[in-house]
This record gives sequence, structure tokens and C-alpha cells, in this order.
Amino acid sequence: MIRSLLWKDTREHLPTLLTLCVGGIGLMIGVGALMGFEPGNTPMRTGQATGLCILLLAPGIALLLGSLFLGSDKENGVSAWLDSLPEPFWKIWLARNVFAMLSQLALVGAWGVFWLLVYAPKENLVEPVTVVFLLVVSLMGTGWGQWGVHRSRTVFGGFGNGLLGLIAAGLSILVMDMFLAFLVDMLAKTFRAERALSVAMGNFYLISGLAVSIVLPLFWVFIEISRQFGIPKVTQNSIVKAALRLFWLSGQGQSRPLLIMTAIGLVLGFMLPESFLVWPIWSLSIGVVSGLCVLAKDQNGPGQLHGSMRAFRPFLLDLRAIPAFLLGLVVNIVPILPLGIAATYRGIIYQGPDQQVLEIFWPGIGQYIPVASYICLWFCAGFGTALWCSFFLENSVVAFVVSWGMGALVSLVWIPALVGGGLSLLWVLGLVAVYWGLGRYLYRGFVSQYLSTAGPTSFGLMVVCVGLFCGFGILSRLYPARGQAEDPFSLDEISQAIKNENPKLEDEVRRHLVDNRRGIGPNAQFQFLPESTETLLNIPVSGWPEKVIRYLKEVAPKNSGELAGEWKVPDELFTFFGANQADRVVSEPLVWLYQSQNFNMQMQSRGISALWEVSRGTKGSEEKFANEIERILYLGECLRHKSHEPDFNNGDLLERFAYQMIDYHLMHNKPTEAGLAALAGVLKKAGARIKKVKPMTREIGFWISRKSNQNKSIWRKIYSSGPHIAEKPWIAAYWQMVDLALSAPWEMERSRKLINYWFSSNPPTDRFGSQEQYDYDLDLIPFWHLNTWNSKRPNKFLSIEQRSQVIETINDLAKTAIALKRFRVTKGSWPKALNELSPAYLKEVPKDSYSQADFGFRIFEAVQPLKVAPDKSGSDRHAGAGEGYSAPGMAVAGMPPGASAGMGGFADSLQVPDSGQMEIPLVPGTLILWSIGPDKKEPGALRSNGPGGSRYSGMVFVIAP
Amino acid sequence: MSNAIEITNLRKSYKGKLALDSVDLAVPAGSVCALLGANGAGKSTLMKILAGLQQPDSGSASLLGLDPWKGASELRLQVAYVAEKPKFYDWMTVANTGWFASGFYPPGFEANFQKVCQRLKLDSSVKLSALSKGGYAKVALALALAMGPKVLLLDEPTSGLDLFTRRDFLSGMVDLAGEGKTVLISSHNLAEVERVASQIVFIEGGRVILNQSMDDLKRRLVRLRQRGEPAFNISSVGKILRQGKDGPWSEWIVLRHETAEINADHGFEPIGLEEMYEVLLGAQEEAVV
Repeated sequence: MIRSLLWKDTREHLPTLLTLCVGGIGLMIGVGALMGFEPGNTPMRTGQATGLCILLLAPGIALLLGSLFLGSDKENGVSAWLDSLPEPFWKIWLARNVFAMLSQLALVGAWGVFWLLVYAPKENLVEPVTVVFLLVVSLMGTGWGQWGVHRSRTVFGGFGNGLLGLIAAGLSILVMDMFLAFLVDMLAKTFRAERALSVAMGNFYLISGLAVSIVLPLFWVFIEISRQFGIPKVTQNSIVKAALRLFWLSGQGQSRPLLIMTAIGLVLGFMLPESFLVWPIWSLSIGVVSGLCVLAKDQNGPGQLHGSMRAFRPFLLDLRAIPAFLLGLVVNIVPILPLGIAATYRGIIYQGPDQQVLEIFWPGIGQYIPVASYICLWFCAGFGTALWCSFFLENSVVAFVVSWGMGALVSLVWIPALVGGGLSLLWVLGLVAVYWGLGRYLYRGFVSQYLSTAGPTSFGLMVVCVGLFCGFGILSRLYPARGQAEDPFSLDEISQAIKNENPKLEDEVRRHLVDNRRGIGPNAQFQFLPESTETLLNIPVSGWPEKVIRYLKEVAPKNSGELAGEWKVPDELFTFFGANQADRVVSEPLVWLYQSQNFNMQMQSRGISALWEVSRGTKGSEEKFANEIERILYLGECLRHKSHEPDFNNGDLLERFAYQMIDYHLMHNKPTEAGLAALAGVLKKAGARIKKVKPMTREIGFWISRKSNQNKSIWRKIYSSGPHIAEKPWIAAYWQMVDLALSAPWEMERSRKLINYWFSSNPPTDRFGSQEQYDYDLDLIPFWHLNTWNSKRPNKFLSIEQRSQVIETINDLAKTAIALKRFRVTKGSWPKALNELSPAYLKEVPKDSYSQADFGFRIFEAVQPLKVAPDKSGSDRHAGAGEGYSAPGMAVAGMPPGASAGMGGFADSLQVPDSGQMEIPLVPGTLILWSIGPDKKEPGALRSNGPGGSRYSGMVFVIAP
Repeated sequence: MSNAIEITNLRKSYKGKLALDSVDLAVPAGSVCALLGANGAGKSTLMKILAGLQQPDSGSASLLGLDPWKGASELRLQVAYVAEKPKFYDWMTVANTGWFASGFYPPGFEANFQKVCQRLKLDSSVKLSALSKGGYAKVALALALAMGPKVLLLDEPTSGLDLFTRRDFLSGMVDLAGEGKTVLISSHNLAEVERVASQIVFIEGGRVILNQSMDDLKRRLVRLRQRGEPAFNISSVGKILRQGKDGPWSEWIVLRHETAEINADHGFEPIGLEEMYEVLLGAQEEAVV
């Protein structure tokens, strides 16, 4: 018996399991890419983990639902025969349930293993625990579903019983989320009540959404139970009839409840981006539809249409396949084809896939396009061909292999697209290939009643496609400012330009795209160099520096020598940054950024992410990271313009800074009115005119007046983003900037309370009743680990305007530092004064905004021992890295801080008795450039404030000889 | 001769509607019993109860001395049941189906199945989905016969079979009976059943309206056709179920007393099963019987 049942169930379910397995992993990859996961030991926020958990669970639930809707129907009718076989009833069902559970075990196990191997952070046990949890839930749901189907031998019976599993799964999700939100967050000392509330509410809506589609069947279950307990039949019948009628009217058989749920999920998910609804419902919707598709194929058995499905045929709206087919064409081809044509007509050459074109119309969509396309193709190609093959090949295994092979082939349309041109045509060809299968469905459907299955399936596919496209579109419209300044030229203007052939406007569009958007110079060759970037991307981060060096020296010049030839960056940069290891690890991404010649936000994000990878975990890494990010951003600006003098006058950096600050702030901190007011202050500094601030809806509307184009003002409305956006690595680049706003006094109060909460010896008090008091005793508050920016900033809180000034000063310092390096490379020595840099290396040498004079700079001459005085406790425990100087109130002239804050600093000579010694990590000849800082009394960029010791200004650049 | 099937006062209802009403039935071992009745008469319900797939509301049923519900597991090695509309996994081939089922039976099942398939001219490499209705029925029969049952419960087994297969199949039933196996077969095809059945059970409205051996039935349910009035009082011989006149000819169909002997002098002659069924149904409606 076991042999027979295993054989049969394997034959029937193996394609389904394999498909779901591959699909689940594919989803993980896609969503991982979308959410910015990096393979390997990547820190994963709880929100990410939860989202992925639910994503994993969704196909399981879909399988359950599919088995309820379709699997039950499949077994219906055969039960009589199985029951008449000479084995006890319970043995047969037990064996089948065991198999079902084992199948689910294998399925979820495969996902879990993939997840653990690829994504799960090794130091965090939350995810493995969650995997196990998912396993149990899935087993429960599937087991109950299978049992219900077979035991009751009816669709409704199975549905009712399976619902128990579904409800259990839903409740389990809730419990799991609460567990993660409350317990993990609290333990991780990042407890925020609103976060937990958001989780709870999100799941409330999630379960409510599910209830919408299952409430009526639940009603039926209630009736069934009431029947068992002897409720009068008259009542039973009337209620049953009413329930069934309602269910029928609302569902019309199989597919409408799922479609309704999908639609609700998509709508709710995108209407409430702050909530956890986005990923759960979206993934659940995709999972349900895909599960339905797979099971619909399975329902047919390998190569045949189940007879009982025909019984449903009149109610399945056979003709759905026609609008589904047309809708598919419209949704997929219509938006893409004209974009491609328009782009070609406009002479905009692809640097990559279509996102470069789409971004013109949907700013910010670029980061989603690859994933969206990936998922779309995966589903369309995979499931479309699976259905087709299952029907025509009459062999599920072959169907599986061929279908996924076909899916992979169709996905190849992106390869030529990557090297430019022809994308639209290939896209259309790919879609034709995909929909050819559905077209055949149409033909066969009218002949053989096959549409009863193909209709809902293809319609479901279309819902997924529509949802994906619309979803990404909505997302991009909601959050257009993530690192991609909105193009000031509207779609209408571009269209009008095309129509009128207005060369002036066209040139203007081109100039703007080239100069401000695309990261390439006005005369640059529009050429995508996959070898010089993609190859680098594939190099493991852990071994990057050596490999990058070898690659850039041996390989890259052959591929991109022409582009790199203008300034022989690689060797010089190696020399430049190879002075000490501390700089080196954070400088390699810079080399890569330059070499890529394709600097944009995505590339930048990879570099920053890699930077974080190589620098994190080391002592002082946060500070180092934050410090170097500024330089990279600045150099990115330089490289984008193929110039080392970025035109900051047009306000690009500040504008972007403002956008990012708002974005990040809104995403992470659920801003209060005070927070928004702080942001408004920054925006004003950036040249914006505030229109309105709506704290309750977390909106801020403002006009950006671009200095370079005063007549162009943009109305911007920025909404809050979901946590999935916040996880984008490049957002972290702006963390320090955002901390400026966060450290506004009114925000600081919250931070103080949090800190006091963690360090319960200081319970929250109201002693910080006035703004002036915030400056009090700052060093006693261990704020540095929370706010890296403040750790290297003056130990008092500055106004928004002052913080903006800090940013500008650092940028000016960076610009000067680059010019100094170029001078050094060219002349072989450092300049005597900064004005020697102009005009060859700088059009105008920037002044220190704090002194209105040149920045301070000097040459580090020799290695000297650093001696640190004892602090007020009398001990000498702060001589090591990561701690400030311990001389209270002692201004040490001529001792600038190190390039890497927290490394203990360095000095040419410093004699402080009774101190330890340490090696200075700089080589002789290093140039040190600094600003005197906000307090304007720091000749060596060293500040000494407060009772807790000294702090560096952080506005120091160390340039290797 | 012991009874393979014994049913006493069996009742079964569905949602308040009586499907079987006080059914009494005894089928001797080694006999071919035909269960005849209109659609909805209760034949399939009776079959399912005997197959252990349904539980009666009241009364008792015995199959080979065992309760078909409680002893279902034991009986299923000895009792084969072919549903009215058999349903298997259509994606399997005929051979797959036999192999799959063999997992539930003692060794030898699959070999038997292949033999029966050959006898029924079933191509074992064909998928069930590609089979005709008759072919599907043959698979069901092959599965039933392959297990070598002591009792065969066949619910409309010949439906969809072609003429020659039907004949082969029915003659096979006689052979089985000759081997001491009991066959309970329900059918609408009275003419065919008539040739093989040793016992006839008419069932209507959930009630057994007549249960006789074929010999007895032929002896009791007879026709008298002659010119003019008969020379004897027909009512004294039995109940007149139908009476008619066709020109100079008069005709009586009579259910003779059980003890009555066929007396050729009276001019009675046996009638066909189909006519019996028709007359009995008419009599049922008129509450004659």
C-alpha cells in the first residue's frame, strides 16, 4: 500500500513540489534583490526576516488553498474506489497524510536550506528558529487540508477542514510576528512601540483580508458543525442554502475569491506602505495565484483534463481567457514598446536594461525593474509553458523540465538588452513566446473545453503581472526621490518636444540627463562596459582588495583603457590610498567606482555596501564608514562629471541630501512634528520653499528652487516609505546626514529617554525641560554607539543651519583634498599654499566657511610616539583606539586627529607625561587638511570640550603622499 | 446451500428520503443474483451498503457471515465491488492502475489483472483518460476480477460495453458462479441478465417487490393467451397482473401461487424478464402485488 500510494502521490505532486521549490527560491532571490539583501553573512533586520518568513509561508498557504480548491476535486470520485480497497480506511489516509507532510517538509526544507545558506545571518538565530516554525505551521496546514479533503470526500468538506489549517497558519503568523517584533526587537534594544503596533495591525489586516475570501466558507463550516450538534434541520437548511448562495454569488466557483483576495492584497498593500501589509499580502497573492496555476496544471493530471472540472465549466467563465490574453498583451507590450521606440527615437542609448528609459517616466523605478522583470518572466514563462507542456506533452516531468527551460530562455532576452539596443523587439518576442502557449489554449479551449482551467489560470497570471507593474509603478511614484532626483522635465514636455522636434528642448533634455542624471559626461561615449563592472561585482567582497588590484592592473585597462586614460587613476589611487591599511580597505570601492565609468546610485550602493562589508566589525568601523562615505559621495560626484570639480552651485548634492534625509527620516523614525520641522529647516537650507507639513500623514510638500534654473520649481510630495525601502544599502550612506536632523534637541529628548531606558540606572526624567539643557553633560550620555555622526561631531547640538554648514565644509574639504592629491601626483610635491591649486586643479579654492580663510593643512613629517595623559580618574585606559583623548579641558595645539576617527589620533610631537605609547598609523609625508570647525578655535582640528574629554571635529582629510 | 448474502429489514435514508425500506434478501452462495429496478429504486445504495461503503440506518446485512460495515477490511479481500460509475486516476495507464491496486492485495493480483485484461482485450499501455466508456468499465471489471473474489458486487457493470464484450462478461459470471462464487449484479439490461441470473430481485421505491429464483419466476409469472374465455377460473390459479384483448385473442399474465405447478393443460407459457419487470412495475403501481 505504501509503495502504491507513494508512487502515485509522487507522480502527481512532484512537479508541483519542484515548481514550488524553484519558485520559492526564485522569489527569495527576487525579493532579496529588491530588499537589498546581500548573500552571505548579512545583517538582516527583523522586518526583513519577517517579510521573508511570510513570503516563504505564502506558497505553503497557496498550496493549501490550491489543494482545497482543486486537489479535493481531483480526488473526488476516486474515493469510492480507494475506499473499497482492502486496507483500513485510516491506514490509507494516514499514509497519504504522512506523504503530504513529508512533501511539505521537503519543500519548506529546501527553502529553509537555501535561505540559511544564502541569506541568513550566521550570528542571528532568529531566522533558523523561524524556519522551524514555518515548517511546523506548514505541516499543520497541509496535513489538515489533506485530511479534510480525503476524510470528507467532498470539496467543501476538505475546504472546511483545510480552513482550520489556514486559520492556524494565520494565527501562527501573528504569533510569529509578535514574537519577532516584541521579543527580538526588545532584546536587541531597539524597541519601538509603534513598530510592534504596526506589526500587529498589519497582521490584523492580513488576517482580515484572508477572512474576506474565506468568511463564507467559514460560515459553511459553522453550519456543518452545528449540524453535528443537532441544530434543527429547518434552520440548518435555510442557513446552508443562504451561505452557499452567498458563497456562490461572491465566488462563482473557484477563482474569484482568490482573485478578489489578490486584488485586495495589492490595493491594500500599496495603499498602506508603512504597514507590514506590503510584503505579506503581495507575496501571498503571488503565491496563491502561482499555487493555483501549478495545481491547476496538476489538477489536469499529466496531460489530461479532470472530468469533474468539466462539471464546473459553466461557472468558470470560460471566456476569461480571452480578456486575459488581451490583457496580458496590453499590460506587457503596450507600455514597453512605445517606451523603447521613444527612447530609440530620442537617441537615448541604453546603459542597461529598460530602467534607464523608464526612469524618464517613472523616476526611481530603475531599481525595481530588474526584479519586476525577473518575477514577471519567471511566472509568465514558467507557468505559461508549464501549462502548455502539461497539456500537449502529456507528461508532467517533461513539462516541468521544458517549462523551466523555456522560462530561462525567455529570460535571456535581457542579455542582449544589457549590451544595448534591441530590447523592445526581444521583449515582444519573448512575450509572444510566452503567450503563444496561452494562445494555443484559446484554440484548444474552444474545441476541448480546456478553457475551464486555462481561463482562471491565465487571468490569475495577468493579475500578477498587472499587480507587479502597477505596484512597482506606484512604488516608484510614491518614493521618487531615493537617490534619483526627479527629472524636471515632465513627460508631457518630452512628448511635446518629440512632437514639435524642438531641438532646443531636446538638447536641454539631453544635457540634463547627461550631466545630472546619467553619470556620464557631455562628450562621453555612451557605452556600457560589462566587463569592467559586472566582473567586479562578482568578486567576493572578502577578497576584494587584492583581486580588484590585480583585475584593474591586468584586465581592466584592456577593456576600458580609453575611458580610464584621461587620468591614470588606478595606480595613483592605489598609491594614494595604499598608505595605510585603514584607508585602504575603504578606498577600493572608490577605485571601482572610478573604473566603472558608470557611476550611478545603484553602482554607488554596491560600493557603499561593499565598503560596509569590509569595514564593519573592526574597531571604529562605524566612524570610519561614515567618514569615508562622504568622500565617496563626493568623488562620485567628481567622477560623474568626469571632472574633479563638481558643480555644487547647482545644489545637486544638497538637493539630494535633502531628499534622502526626508526619505530616511520618514522611513525609519515615524517623524514627529518636530522631526518634520527639522527637515523643513534643512530643506530651506537646500533652497526649498516649504509648502506644507502634514505630520499626521507624514507628508511634506515643498518647492525646490534650483539655483541653476530659478524658473524651474518643482512641487514635490514625499510620502513615507516602507521598511523594505529603508533596507536599501545606499540609504545608509545618508545615515549620518539624517542624524543631523535627528539630533535636533527635540529629537534628542527621545533618544535620551531611550538611552536612559536601556541604562535603567538612569530612568527617564523630565530634567531636559529646555533646549539649553540639551547641551548639558552630553558626554555622560553614551550616545556615540547610537549616533555615529555625533560621535565625531562637536559635543553639542548644532542648529539645522549649522549642520548643513558642516556638510558643505566637508564637501569643500574633499574637493580640496582631491586637488591636493592631483597636485602631488603632477608636481611630485605638496603645494606651499592652497592657492597654488588654482586654477589648474581648482577653479577656485574653497574657503573654510568657519573662518572665511583657507583650510588648515600641514605635512606629517615623522613617526612619533603618542603619549596620552591620564584622564580625571587617574587611569590611563584611553590610550587605545576608539577612545578620545583623555586630557580634560586640555587644548593640545598642533595635534590634528586621525583620518579615521577613534584611532587615537596622531601628532608630530606630543609630550604628555605618564602615558602609554602607540604607533602612529601614518607614513611620513602625509598631508593633513582640516577645517577649524564650528567653534572656530581649533587650529589642529582638535576640539576639547566638556567634562568628559575631547572630541574631534571630524572635518579632517588625510591624504597619503 | 448457505447464503452468501443475507439482509434483514434493512433501512437507509438520505436527508429524510427513504432509499431502502425494510429490505429482506438472501442470496445463496454460488448464485448469480440480478438486482433489477428503475433509477433511484435503491439498487446502488444496497450495493454500497454491502460493499461496506455506507452504513445502514437500521436492520442487518451479512456478507459471507460478516457485517459489511464492521468487517469491511476483511471482506474487501473476498468481495469485489464495481461502482456504477467507476473512477480511477485517469493519468495512469491500465497497467499502472493494476500495479497501483496490487499494492493493496496479496501477491498474484497483478498477474491476474494482466490475464483478465487480455481476456477483456484491454491494451494495458493505454492511459485511462484515453479509454472509451466501455474500456473504462473493463478496467473496473478487470480490477474486480483480478482479486479472485468470493462475492462480486457489480453495479451496472455492463454499461457502456459493446455487445460481444457484454456477452463474454456475462458468460464469465456464469463461470464464476460455477466455481462457487456469488455474483450480485444490478442492471437495466434485462434480456442479458435473464440469460445468466439464477435469482431475480425486483426493487422499487426502496422496497423489494419480488425475490425469486429465475426458475421459480418463470414458473410463477406466466402468460395465458387464447381465443375466448379460458376453460378454468384463472383467479384460482393465481393473481391476474394484466389482462388484455387483441382482436379475437385474450391474454392474461398471471402470478401463480407459489405452490402451483406449470400445467401445460392450462396453456400457460413463461414470459421474458423484461415483460415480467414491466408487469410487476404496473402491478406495483396499482398495489396489486
